[in-house]
Amino acid sequence: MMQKPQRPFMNDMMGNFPIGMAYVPMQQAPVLYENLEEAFNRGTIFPELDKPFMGKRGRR
Amino acid sequence: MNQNMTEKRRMLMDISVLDFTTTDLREYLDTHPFDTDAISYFHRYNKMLHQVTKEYTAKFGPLRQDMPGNCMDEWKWATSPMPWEGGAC
Repeated sequence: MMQKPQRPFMNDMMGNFPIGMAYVPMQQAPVLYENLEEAFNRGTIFPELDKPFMGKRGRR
Repeated sequence: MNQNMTEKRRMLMDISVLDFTTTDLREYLDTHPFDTDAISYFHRYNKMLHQVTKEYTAKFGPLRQDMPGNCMDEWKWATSPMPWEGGAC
């Protein structure tokens, strides 16, 4: 019998989603930048969404 | 840079920041319509945006055609300097 392939990135939740679709987790009660001018310069009012694309793995 | 220009730039920056903030809050509220904190933030910053835009319009002319200010003698949208003539920048 063929061994079940290991899927280290999948947790139990993942089994409930249909395959082939992308999902974005909802924001839950986010905080805002205290300094709105900083938010303006960062491109988002939410620090938790401040994720600049660097063209490589997430490093600041 | 004279004092008037400094004030104009500062007010434009305030308008930009508040316009961006209320836009981001509106996008958030599209998917979180019952977040009362976000609703009150929106109203607070939207009020500030309208206040500073009104002040700017009275002082330096309209930024938007649908907010032409209170002048009844001339249509300031048409008579204010264009952006390339130094208007709104």
